[in-house]
Amino acid sequence: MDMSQYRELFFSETREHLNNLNQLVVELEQQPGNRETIDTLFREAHSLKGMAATMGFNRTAQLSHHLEDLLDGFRKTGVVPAATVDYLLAGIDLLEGLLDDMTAKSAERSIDEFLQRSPSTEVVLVAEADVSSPPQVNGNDDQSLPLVAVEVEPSDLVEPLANIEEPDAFQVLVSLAEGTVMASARGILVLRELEKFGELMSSKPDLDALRNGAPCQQIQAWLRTSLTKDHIEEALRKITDVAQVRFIDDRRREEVSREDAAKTIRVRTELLDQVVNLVGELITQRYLLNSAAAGRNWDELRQALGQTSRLVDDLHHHALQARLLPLESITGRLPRIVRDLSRKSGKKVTLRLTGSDVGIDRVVLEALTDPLVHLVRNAVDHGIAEEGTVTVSARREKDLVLVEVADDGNGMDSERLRSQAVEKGLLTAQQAENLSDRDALMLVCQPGFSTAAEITETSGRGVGMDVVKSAVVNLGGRLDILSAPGEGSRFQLRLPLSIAIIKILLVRCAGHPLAIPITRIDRTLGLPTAEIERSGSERVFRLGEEVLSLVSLPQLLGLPEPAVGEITFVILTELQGRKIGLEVDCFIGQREAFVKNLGFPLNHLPGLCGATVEGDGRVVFIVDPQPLLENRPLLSSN
Amino acid sequence: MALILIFTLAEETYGLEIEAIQEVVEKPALHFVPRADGALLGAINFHGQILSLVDLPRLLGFDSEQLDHRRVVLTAEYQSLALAVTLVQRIVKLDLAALQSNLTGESKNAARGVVDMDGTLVNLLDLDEILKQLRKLYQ
Repeated sequence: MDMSQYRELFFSETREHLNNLNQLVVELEQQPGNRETIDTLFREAHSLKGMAATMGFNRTAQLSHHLEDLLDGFRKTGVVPAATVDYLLAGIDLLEGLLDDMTAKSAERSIDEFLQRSPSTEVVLVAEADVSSPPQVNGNDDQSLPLVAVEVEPSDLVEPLANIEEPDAFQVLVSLAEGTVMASARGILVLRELEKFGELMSSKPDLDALRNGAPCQQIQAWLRTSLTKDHIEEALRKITDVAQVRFIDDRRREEVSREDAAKTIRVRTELLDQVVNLVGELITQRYLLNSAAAGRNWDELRQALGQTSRLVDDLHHHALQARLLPLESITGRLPRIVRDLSRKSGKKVTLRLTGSDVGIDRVVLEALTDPLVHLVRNAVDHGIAEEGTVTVSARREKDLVLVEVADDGNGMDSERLRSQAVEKGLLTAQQAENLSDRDALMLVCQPGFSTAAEITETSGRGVGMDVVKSAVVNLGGRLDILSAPGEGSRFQLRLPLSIAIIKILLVRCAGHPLAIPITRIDRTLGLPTAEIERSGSERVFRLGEEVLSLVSLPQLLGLPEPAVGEITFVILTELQGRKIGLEVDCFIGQREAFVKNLGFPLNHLPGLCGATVEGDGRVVFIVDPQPLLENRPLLSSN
Repeated sequence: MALILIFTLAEETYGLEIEAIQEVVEKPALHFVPRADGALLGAINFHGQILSLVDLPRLLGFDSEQLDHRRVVLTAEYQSLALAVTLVQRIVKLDLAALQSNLTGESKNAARGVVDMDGTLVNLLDLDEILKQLRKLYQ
């Protein structure tokens, strides 16, 4: 049976199971007697074993089975000894390593050393495995196994055969001389020789094929051995007709990324059904439209168009749903990370997760994974002194998601950050003094601001606060830091739900249509022009109790000022926590826009964050007023 | 022998290897770009991609009142830039082995060197230099 089509699904499900396992073990550590957690853990390990066995990943199956057995033992006693938590976690780490091997299509790494460390020998009963795969050929993988496995049937040669400390896996290519007589017989000799060096994991052609007289010019074999390559080459060359021996190192493992996780996504059947139903309705609607148009029946046409637009809206909504994943899918690792960090630093840190079910576009989520880990790490390393809580929460805010990492630790001292910035030569004393507290906190996001200690702590991941900020900004989001000495710190990430489609307000600006993301707009106003006053060089207007500055968007964009009318159209937006009015010619309307990325040098123009193509083919640029306002020249000539 | 697209910038004759060209587009609609100035004419919608249209004569300091309505779209390697030139002429076969590189050392008018085409000197456009200049303008 060809299982390759199920590989992707298997990998993504395995990743989920591992995530759950990690989380559950950390929970169990806090409540060692929780039956329910032990039961759930047992079931997770059980499912993983079954899936891995079906897919033919025998070591993964074997290791899951081993953990399952261990957990079954705890089910009976009702308690998990504290000492075994580390062992369980190490087992999960090893399973993660195996998953990397499987995704990289290299042979599964050895699990022998791990199995030998098993804390409780009586539960290691791998030989009785009800694993639904062919019986394991464990060799002396497991001390509790009788040594029958030494008398291996030749067809099982692709299975592990030997037990070597820290062996090296690589591929051997053995070429036979041209015109070799009885090449397949020579091939069998080569394989037999290879078996002697260590573990022959698989070969192409394999022994069976060679026995059936398969043509054999070159043998490709995966070998795990602690012998040197010179030794192997020398031995192989002694075989008659071996012309060439080459080695290919297995170094791909390091490069395994989570890429394939991104390629597949699981969608509820219910959702898929809804999408299919909607498409079905749209097809019916098309016939109605056609017939109404053919009969020039305008009422019917109008009705059908209304219905179509409702259906398209529905379809859009559902299609977007399919792209959303719960935040949970990336916070799953955090309990484990916090546990390991607090153990390493000797701090007592509690992690609270709320809003983990909030859905976020998977592209956004993926880009968020590393920044989130970094923020949590920072909170433990720098925020919390001895004991405290790190809270990761998420909630919807209009069409944004607010993800917040908060700690109840020391807090940050804006005064100290100012002086540090001056010391490092990032700012002059004057500039530092003029900085608002809010902006002073943002200094930690400046490249090169991190202290040396921070760099060593996180260098492994290559993520600093500047990377966190640019990841958020690249996603069209915003990073805010709220903190004060003694009051803890809150890092707030405001992110778009989806990055492909955003809501925009279409405006006219010096005669040109422009789009502004709704997320940048607090509200819109039609202001009687007479109510605009002057305050020094600035134009201001009153809104309730407040007096707000009014800035002309055409002027910000270097365009001519439009003629003054009786009503001035104003967009209220926020700049560094302060409301500010933006004047435009007029509002055209609100709509949803598919955002197109811009090519160079358009993407380097300040304020341009994308473009959208109108129904008539016209390209309308999406302008983010924020950077324009931040860099605006002083309006002295106004 | 290499296939070279011959065009002019003001009075000067330039050439560009066709390997660097994705397409020569006939009169695409020009879209307004806020904050565009100087050498950046606007944007074109090229098969759904939004590309920058660069006024090449202006970027290189030539005085060209008229521009050809055909736009030269470069390959992704050169940021898929769309170039406006004075006049797009034709594609010819030239022997680049005879290319005389700039002896002065400085890349004058963004030419990698000159090559003779039946008595006319063709400046071979230096795209890296073009990108360098654009990067200087649009950090």
